Amino acid sequence: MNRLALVALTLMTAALSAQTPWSAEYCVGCHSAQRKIGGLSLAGFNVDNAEVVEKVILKLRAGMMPPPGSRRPAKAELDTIVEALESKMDSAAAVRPNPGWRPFQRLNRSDYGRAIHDLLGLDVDVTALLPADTVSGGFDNIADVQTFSPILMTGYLRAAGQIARLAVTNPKAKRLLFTCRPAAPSRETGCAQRILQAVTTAAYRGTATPKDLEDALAFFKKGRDGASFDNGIRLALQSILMSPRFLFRLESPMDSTLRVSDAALASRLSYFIWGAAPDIELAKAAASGALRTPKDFEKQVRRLLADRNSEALSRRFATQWLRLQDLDKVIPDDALFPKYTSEIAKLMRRETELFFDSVVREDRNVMDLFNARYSYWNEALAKHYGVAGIAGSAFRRVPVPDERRGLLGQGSVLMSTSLSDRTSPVLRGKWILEVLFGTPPPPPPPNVPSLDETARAVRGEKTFSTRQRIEEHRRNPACSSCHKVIDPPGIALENFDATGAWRTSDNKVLVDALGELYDGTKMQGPSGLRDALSAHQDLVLRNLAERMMTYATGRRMEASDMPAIRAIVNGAAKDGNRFSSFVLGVANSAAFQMNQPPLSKAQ
Amino acid sequence: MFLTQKHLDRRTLLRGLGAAVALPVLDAMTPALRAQEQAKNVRLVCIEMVHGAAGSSAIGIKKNLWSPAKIGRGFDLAPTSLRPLAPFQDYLTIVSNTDVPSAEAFEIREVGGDHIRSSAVFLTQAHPKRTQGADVEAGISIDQVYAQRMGQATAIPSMQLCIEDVDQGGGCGFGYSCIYSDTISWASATQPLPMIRDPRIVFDELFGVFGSGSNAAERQARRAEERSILDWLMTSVKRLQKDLGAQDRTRLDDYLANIREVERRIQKAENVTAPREIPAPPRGIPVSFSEHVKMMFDLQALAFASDITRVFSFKLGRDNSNRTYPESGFKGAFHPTSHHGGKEDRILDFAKLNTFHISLIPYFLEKLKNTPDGDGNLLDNTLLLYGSPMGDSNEHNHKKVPFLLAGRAGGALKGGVHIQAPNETPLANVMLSVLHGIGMPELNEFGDSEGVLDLNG
Repeated sequence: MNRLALVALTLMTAALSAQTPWSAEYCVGCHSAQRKIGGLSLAGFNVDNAEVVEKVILKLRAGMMPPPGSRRPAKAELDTIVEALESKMDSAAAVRPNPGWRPFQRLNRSDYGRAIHDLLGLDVDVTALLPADTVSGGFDNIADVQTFSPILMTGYLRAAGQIARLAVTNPKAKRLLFTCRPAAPSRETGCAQRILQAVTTAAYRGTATPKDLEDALAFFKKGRDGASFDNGIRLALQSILMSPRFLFRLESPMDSTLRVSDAALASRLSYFIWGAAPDIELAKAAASGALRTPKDFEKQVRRLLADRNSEALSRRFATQWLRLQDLDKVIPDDALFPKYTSEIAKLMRRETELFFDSVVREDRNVMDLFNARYSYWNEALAKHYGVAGIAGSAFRRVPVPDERRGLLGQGSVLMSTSLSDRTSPVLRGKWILEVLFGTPPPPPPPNVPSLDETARAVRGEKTFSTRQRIEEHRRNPACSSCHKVIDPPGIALENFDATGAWRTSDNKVLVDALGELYDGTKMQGPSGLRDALSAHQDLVLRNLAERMMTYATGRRMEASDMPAIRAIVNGAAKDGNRFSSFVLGVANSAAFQMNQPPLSKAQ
Repeated sequence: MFLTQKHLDRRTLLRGLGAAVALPVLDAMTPALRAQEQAKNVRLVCIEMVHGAAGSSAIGIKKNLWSPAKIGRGFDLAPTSLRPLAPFQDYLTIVSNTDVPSAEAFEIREVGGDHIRSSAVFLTQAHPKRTQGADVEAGISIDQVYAQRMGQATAIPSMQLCIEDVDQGGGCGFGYSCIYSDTISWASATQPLPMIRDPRIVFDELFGVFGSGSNAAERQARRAEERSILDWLMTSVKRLQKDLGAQDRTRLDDYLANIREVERRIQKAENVTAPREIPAPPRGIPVSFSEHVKMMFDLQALAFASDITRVFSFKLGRDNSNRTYPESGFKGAFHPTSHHGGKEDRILDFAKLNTFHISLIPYFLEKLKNTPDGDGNLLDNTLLLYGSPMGDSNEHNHKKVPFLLAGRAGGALKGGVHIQAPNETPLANVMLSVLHGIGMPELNEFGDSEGVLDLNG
């Protein structure tokens, strides 16, 4: 740490401690040992408590603390403090890096379906075979919540049986599976050996041992006995699909450097970028030790990104980050939205996937996710958006009107944050705070009625817009302290109805889409909101890096990961915030390349 | 003993599931000789609905929107949300005025987490630990207490079903693991059990214990194959563990424990004769709420009739859900409607949703009642528990929660009674009394219980 930072740190520690008039004035009034607002006490602030320090950093960076309306120090003063705090955390992490730890991951539903597709060319409906995956930290691949249960085991068992039987009868799968045919009974074992060698190699992702092949052959013989050659292969395949080497992404213990093995790193990388096992080239690179050379490692990352398979980043990562699964849960009221059909929701989802994929493929600045002047529409979707001149069911890249720029102009986001009969600025605002800023609002206090539901839309002769109903009740002081932060970004989107179509009036009242961000920035409609996002770009980028790290490592990020996340963001900034710079930052992080078991932490 | 009385039309059930009542199938599935053996084999069904009830609000209590005005016998269900159950009044034990204190916040940082925490409390009556990691903790649930004691007699000790999908983005948070909202069944304080939403999986689980296949010989052969694979896994996993770190070795031990349980199930199934005809499976997840619920009830009735399992837990909703139920005659979304602002007209709207949810129960009770079991019918030998861990949803409180029992529980319940618990009685007292009634009289406590309650008033 340089001298200047040290001075700043000393000042800041003093400033945040309860004894000084500065923090007494700005922080400890609410964050006292007694009041602990937001579950945080800054009395006796300890700069070595990473969890508390990172909380403070986030809120100061966001400009959310001290809260809007309260007296706050000058921005320069706040900046000095937050920079000193970050620098303190980052230098401590540089001296003692903590890559974190997670147990091995198992194939989730999506991984399983993809593995079967890659192995046998079969597309199976995994939702009918395996129980749903527990979501944690917003993703379905988080290792520590992937527990076992009898229902999961019987699911695997049934799936293995059904798939193996299908594989020896389905023509496409047979072509892939039966790489030889025994010309005579004496050749059967040799042919079976050849087939099962290939299957175990692929199914066990390059970790198959001679003993594994021996085991598979034993099942072949058992199945062959008294039945056909194909039946032998079928039973061997069934056993392979039950092996922990197939179902689990096992990683051998780390050596003293804590680095995962080359094969494990290759697997982590391909599951991150492709949602699938490594291909031959990546497996070869791992076997040759090339992944240990930064240049060759980067080459592989870029190769994977350029490959069509990287669309898993849009289909798996982006859809979960953006919570698009919630689209299925909104069923617009047909009396209010007679032209809407359930097909539209599918098109909206596809639009967002294609759009995100374009940012990956063209390696764009990730802020284009919010500002790009194009999107992907087909006729039905364009019609839904009220745009003429696009014909046919094929999606194509189109220039979009200003209000449709970026994710916040896309139906998928707008509808998944609505209710069946109306918009919810609360849900939309909450979505922006949680999904884009990474600063979730606190839970509602008890005994407070849901804010936007306390007013009727029609009272006597008069009708009220959603905005008016919300504002009426934001006058309740118990609600206003949080909702003046949550609602305004949603208010700025009020021109989009519950199905994401454009409107100029709501319930016969002219739409007023002027919102005021918690920091006082006025946001007029979608463009005002986009400007606010750009103004808080550091928050948005930090959050994107955090989300990507969570998905890539299969564990929730902790305070000890924040220095790595800041490093990714800083690295990306030097490269124009390109998408690949985030992916590379994640792939090069200690958390991605290492694993530190809890026991050695104590040592 | 597992003899079918008559030939089953496989398509009857395929069509019947979720649509028409497949009673002939149930009759046929009931073995002729099993009646006496099973006379006291009480079946347990625990059903949770989220978001409390209109009848738990101050106005709702006054207007008897959940429990009837009269205490004791001869009550009138007409003003209540329970009125669809009127034909089964003799089988009802309504317990009102209980609280679920373990669902409340115990510390400041838990305040506001009611929706995320509640479901984990319903059947455990234990306070969930606030954590997002693998170190989740609540308590053993009532269905599992019973299943662990009685469930070993059947191929499947218990099953867990649900209606709503678990992958709700942002549906859980505030420092709580999603699993607290995903399931109501806990095998121990640290082992939540996943719930199954897809009727196809429920079907495959139930009949899959006999092995898949179109006839008995094929099923037998496939079962033998599966057992040989499971045997092989036991040894090969041990070999594999040598190459792993300590934590992952422990994790694989857990995997092996589950493999052993699956082996036990297959073994158990070998001791009973599978139904000669296994009905055709359902096709997928119905979009309609009532169709989905009824299909799950069909499967539960079928499982009871064929004694594959005796215990179900069934989660009908998910906290914070914005699902609409147009069939109820009210179009508002579930969660916003539950925040009625204490206003009478909106409380009455919410009551319409409660009534609609209750209206699906008679379908199941009817099936059970029409299925002979022992000297009586399945409903005589079933205990169905229905309720919510939340009371007045507008305030997110857990007081005076909606709750009822149906069925005679093998004679433990007389039925036809409305019991009003003394103020501040924990719901756990009722659950402890239930466990006493269904064969575990030696238990001294359950969850946060403080005593027992006479359920026959």
